[in-house]
Amino acid sequence: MQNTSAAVAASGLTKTFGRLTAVDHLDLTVPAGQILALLGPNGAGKSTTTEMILGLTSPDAGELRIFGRSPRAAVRSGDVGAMLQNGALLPDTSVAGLLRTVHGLHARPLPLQQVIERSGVEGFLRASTSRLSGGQAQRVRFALAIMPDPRLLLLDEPTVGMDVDSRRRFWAAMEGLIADGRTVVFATHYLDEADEFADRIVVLNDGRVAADGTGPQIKAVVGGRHVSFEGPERDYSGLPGVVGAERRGVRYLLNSSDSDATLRALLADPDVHAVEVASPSLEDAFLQLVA
Amino acid sequence: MTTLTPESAAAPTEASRRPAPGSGRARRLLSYARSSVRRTLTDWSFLAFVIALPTTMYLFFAGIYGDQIAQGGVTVAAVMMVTMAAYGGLGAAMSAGAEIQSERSTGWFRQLMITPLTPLEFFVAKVIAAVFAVAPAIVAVFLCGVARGVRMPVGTWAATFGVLLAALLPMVLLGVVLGLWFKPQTAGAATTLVMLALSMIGGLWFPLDMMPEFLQRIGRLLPSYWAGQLGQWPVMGGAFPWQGVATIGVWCAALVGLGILGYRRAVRTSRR
Repeated sequence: MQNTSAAVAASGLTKTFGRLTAVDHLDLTVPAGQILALLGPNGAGKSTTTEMILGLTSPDAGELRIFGRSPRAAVRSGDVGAMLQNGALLPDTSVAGLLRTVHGLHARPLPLQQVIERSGVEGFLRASTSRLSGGQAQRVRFALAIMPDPRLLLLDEPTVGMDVDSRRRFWAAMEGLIADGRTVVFATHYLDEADEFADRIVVLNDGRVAADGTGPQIKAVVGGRHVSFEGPERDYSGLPGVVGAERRGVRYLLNSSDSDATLRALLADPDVHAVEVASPSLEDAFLQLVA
Repeated sequence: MTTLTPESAAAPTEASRRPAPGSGRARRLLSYARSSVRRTLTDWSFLAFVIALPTTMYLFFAGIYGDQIAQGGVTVAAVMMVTMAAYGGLGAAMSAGAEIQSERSTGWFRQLMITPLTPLEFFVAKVIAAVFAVAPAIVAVFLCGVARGVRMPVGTWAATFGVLLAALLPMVLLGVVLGLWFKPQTAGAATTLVMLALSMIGGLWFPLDMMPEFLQRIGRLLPSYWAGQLGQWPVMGGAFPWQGVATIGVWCAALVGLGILGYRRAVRTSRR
């Protein structure tokens, strides 16, 4: 392929399951070294895209190259490491035994000691993989992901089910790895997470790219707040932060990318009352985006 | 192995990390086989099932009939030792096969498939590991045979062991096929039922001659019967049962075919 430097180069990528088109003519190029978030609601095609990049699923149509090679070849050479969503671990083995087994499979793995330190599994190396807490299992999956010393790390909803605190700790642990210039692609439901940790956000919906940009750009489109209120009849679309305004019965509904600024300006008018601020769900935001 | 400092390991260079294609296949195979063997040999419930059952049955039946003389001037204790070892080995081989399929159908296999291990290497590693499940089952019954007073030249012991192992190892395929065609919840029961049927009708518990004519006819088509016959050959002598080799060969071919069909069906019906 022409672009051998790109970590991921997909064009016209399509995958259907029966009548369901999970990924629909997806075009996506991820330059090496980029940290990209794949954002989207359930069924948007995030997991299927991840699986195709890993060579676990083959596309029905389209072209997909990982560092200029086929996904399977990239995986075999240790260029790609991944944390799968709810990825099962080999049961009834010690964590140390599991790590040693997989270490023996990779071509050029990171030294085992380094894997153990970076993933923070020192405390439960002797525990059975069948008796780990959710957080511990996730750390073991992370250890497996970084073991091949990959140039591309794929994380499919790595922090799903974690509280805010564990999510922060997870990303803090990631920082050391990311600093080495690796490419990271992670799928997530959380806009804030995508905004905070990614250089670029690609929003998927119905298997297609619905939006593609930096965190602030995406946030302005999908991450706004809905400010609704009752007040005198006039045009509110010129207020700071407002990206959309409409009237619904007696109430006005403003879509704002910066609700703080909008509210400051809005509340200067003493006739404005019954103000409500709401965050639309990601799903609602997508409906807006796609409409 | 290259010696990597943490710094150089953290920043991989393009040139240092390109393995030659196919390199390390043996290393991967052994690494995965070793871990599978370790798991098999530390799974006490599995070992109890494939060792305790045949040895108990052997000691029980050999206690009743063992001192009689079978054809060829060999004690029944010796003949029964071979067939009970075949029964134990059959159970171990089929369980190992069922385990291959259950491991393949879990999320763990997906994790494995994002390492350089290929599906074929996975399968071969697991078959190597299956040897370490079948061998203890045979050896345990042999030890009981020695305790019952069976005495044979070392070469005969070795030949019987080798022939049994070779005749039973293909039954790993049967376990895989059953795992592919039955739901995970029912695969265990199906494996046990088929294993018991093969053992009984294959004459591993009682000699085939004691059964009705139609069962004998079915029995002679079963790989379990021929595993028993082949295993007895070094002990009893006589003509080498080539028909057994052919029968087991046909079974293997059919099982491979069924396995491929079942695998395609599994891929089609699962969303991922």
